[in-house]
Amino acid sequence: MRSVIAASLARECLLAVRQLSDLATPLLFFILVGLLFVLGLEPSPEILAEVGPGVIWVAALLASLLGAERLFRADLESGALELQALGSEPLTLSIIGKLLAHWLVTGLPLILLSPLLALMLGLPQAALPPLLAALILGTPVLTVLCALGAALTVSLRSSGTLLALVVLPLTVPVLIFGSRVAMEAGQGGAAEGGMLWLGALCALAASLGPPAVAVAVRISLE
Amino acid sequence: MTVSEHSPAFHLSASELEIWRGETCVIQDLSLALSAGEMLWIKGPNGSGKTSLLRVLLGLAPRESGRVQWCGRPVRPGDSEFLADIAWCGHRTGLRAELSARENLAAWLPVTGVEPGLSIDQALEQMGLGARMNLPCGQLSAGQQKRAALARLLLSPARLWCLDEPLTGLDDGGVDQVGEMLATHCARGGAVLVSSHQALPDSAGAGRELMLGGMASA
Repeated sequence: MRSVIAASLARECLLAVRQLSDLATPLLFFILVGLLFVLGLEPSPEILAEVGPGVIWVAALLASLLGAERLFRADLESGALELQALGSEPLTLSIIGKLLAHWLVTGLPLILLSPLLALMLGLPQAALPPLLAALILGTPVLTVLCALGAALTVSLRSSGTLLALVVLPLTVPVLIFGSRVAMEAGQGGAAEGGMLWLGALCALAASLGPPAVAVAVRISLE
Repeated sequence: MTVSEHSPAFHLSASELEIWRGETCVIQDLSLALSAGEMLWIKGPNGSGKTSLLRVLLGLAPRESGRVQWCGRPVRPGDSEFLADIAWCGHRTGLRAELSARENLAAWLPVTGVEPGLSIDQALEQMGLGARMNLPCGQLSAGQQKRAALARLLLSPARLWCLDEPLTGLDDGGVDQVGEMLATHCARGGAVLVSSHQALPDSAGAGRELMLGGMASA
């Protein structure tokens, strides 16, 4: 069981390394969206600091979506996905490895880049640790939701737009709790409530996500 | 590991299958049976439903009606006991162009849940890819990719081989080799379900034939 997850994780990481440009696109997009907000909004530090957490979360969400469309496409077209589905080991295990790898190569870099965005937006120092903690809990949820949408839409034409329409409404709770946490911390308030909600969502996504994605993949293979 | 180490008796049967692809009914009222040591060649023109039939038998695609049974019990999608007995080689190779043949097989092998008797390198060498196993699959020719995909059969201890157009893209030597692999597998007590629109080579030995495409001509 562990070897299936490990092999899948290793394969995805290897694929990511061989396609570095695919990896960089969402990250550049993340930075650019933040930059556009800085340039487009009134250059007053108060406004920027106030909308900052929300901007970072929306940028992270859009960047995750950007990387998600390709998650299953190449595997479906090459036939690798049906081979995984026809293994005697549960498809869920391969999916766990895949999601883990996807988070490592897209979610984690977003978290690491977010202090840069926070700096550009002039977020108060106090808001940064809760923002990072919220991103650590929230990005796995985004990864699972994007993977679910990608698995459901992979066999369709023009799946990109549909993917956004399917996934974006589902991400609303993460977005609300995530940006609340950082905003309240920036204003000196307590952030425990939102953080607990994010933790609950993260646990839910990590436990129910992979089997749900596996079912969605089987539907797409039909 | 050889096939004969398994219990010898097994049986795949399907009865009264009706299969639709999109809005067209491609197969109607089809029954088939396959036991250890047998080879069934599913033939027919393009669009006669060869691939659809194989996918339905494997539980990958839904059927409109009918039953598929493995050793007397119904096959459910994702049935791990059944899938452990199946080696699938589809029309699509299942190889990612960015990875080498060896990396592709190494990533696939744990999914089967079995320890092969052969190493991946040995399997690829037997398929004539010894010198090219570390090249990205995108740099291999279609025939070489097919060979890499067929190397999975050598690694799998599965008793039932399901092959969809295994001969496309192969040169004469490759076609003969696949024929020999099929014959060896049947001789060891395995069974082969193979769809092909081109004739199977003489080296494959004799097998039963199932002609599809009644709908197309009607």
